[in-house]
Amino acid sequence: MSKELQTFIERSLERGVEKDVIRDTLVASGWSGKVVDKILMQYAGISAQGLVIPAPRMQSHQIAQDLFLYLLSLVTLGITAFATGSLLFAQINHLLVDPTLAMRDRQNDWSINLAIAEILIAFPLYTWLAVHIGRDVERSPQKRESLIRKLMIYLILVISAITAIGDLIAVLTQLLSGEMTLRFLAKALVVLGISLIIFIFYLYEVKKDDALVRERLV
Amino acid sequence: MTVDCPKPGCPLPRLLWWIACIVCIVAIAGGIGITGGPQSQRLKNQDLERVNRLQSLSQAIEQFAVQHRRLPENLDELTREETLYLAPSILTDPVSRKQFTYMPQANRYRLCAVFATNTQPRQEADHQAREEYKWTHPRGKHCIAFDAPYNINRREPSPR
Repeated sequence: MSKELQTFIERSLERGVEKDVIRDTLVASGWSGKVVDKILMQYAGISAQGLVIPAPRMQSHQIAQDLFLYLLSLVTLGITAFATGSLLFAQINHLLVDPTLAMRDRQNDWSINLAIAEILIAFPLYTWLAVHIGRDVERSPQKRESLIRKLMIYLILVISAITAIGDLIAVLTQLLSGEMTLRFLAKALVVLGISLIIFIFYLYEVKKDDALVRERLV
Repeated sequence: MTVDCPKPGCPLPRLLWWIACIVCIVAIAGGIGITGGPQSQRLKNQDLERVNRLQSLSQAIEQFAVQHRRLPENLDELTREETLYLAPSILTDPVSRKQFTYMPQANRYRLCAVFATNTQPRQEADHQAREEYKWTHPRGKHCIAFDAPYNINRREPSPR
């Protein structure tokens, strides 16, 4: 939740500003009505003079819960992405045989079995977490402002962007040294594809978060 | 990039999830296509054990030949040799428990086993891989030929 927003609301309440006035002011300056309402709901106290005083309601263990959900989805997403990549690499090695490596490629069965097991466990779990988080932020939009959520989303964005950039650099280097093979190109495409899917997915999440906070501005 | 749809209920994340789902299924199906699934993995492991035993056997035979300046007449002769520390189970197939076939000749010998899978590469291997290639096998009965160590008496094995 945005710290400035919270502070602003607290101070206004202390000075006896009506809740409706606070809400209208904030919405006029671009904050989402839903988010403002959610924060206002946390202050329920009324003084003897009829003044609203900021009495914070009990907060759930929001940070710990967010950390659990987002860290787990980060890890399951990572496992899925790497396992899918390694399976597709094995497929490329299998289809585009390099005669000098023909013997070595046969010994990859164990890593293939591991990758299949990783996807079968991690991907359904990731999907469940994503659906759970999606419903959660749909129900209580102020959770889109969670610091943990922001950190994790941007962490995933950075990792997938770096992967894609590094991949493109590797392709270009290989091309410049005149050693571009179909095998290499196919593997580079796999890496680029996976990182782009993840990047676009989370970029969209960021845009959605931003849009919700500024929805009344336009 | 088509990210201009920041309203709830936009089809893009769902579409990306379906793409990811299809990619995962294709990857898993392809992986199983390579490994052949659990049953085929079992057979491959059995063949791996066969090859391991044959490798230990050929080492024991060569050690025997260096010590006695002749090849052993049969595999049982190896187990009687105390200095080789050879477990009797090495002489037998891990699944059928039958003894491997051993065929000594003048200055070479052959070891045979019945294999359950084919490990021969689809393409001719390079020279560097020759030692590895020696231990590949087709499905069914297959013999691997070995040269005896150079210092043995180049005679036919002594009459039984």
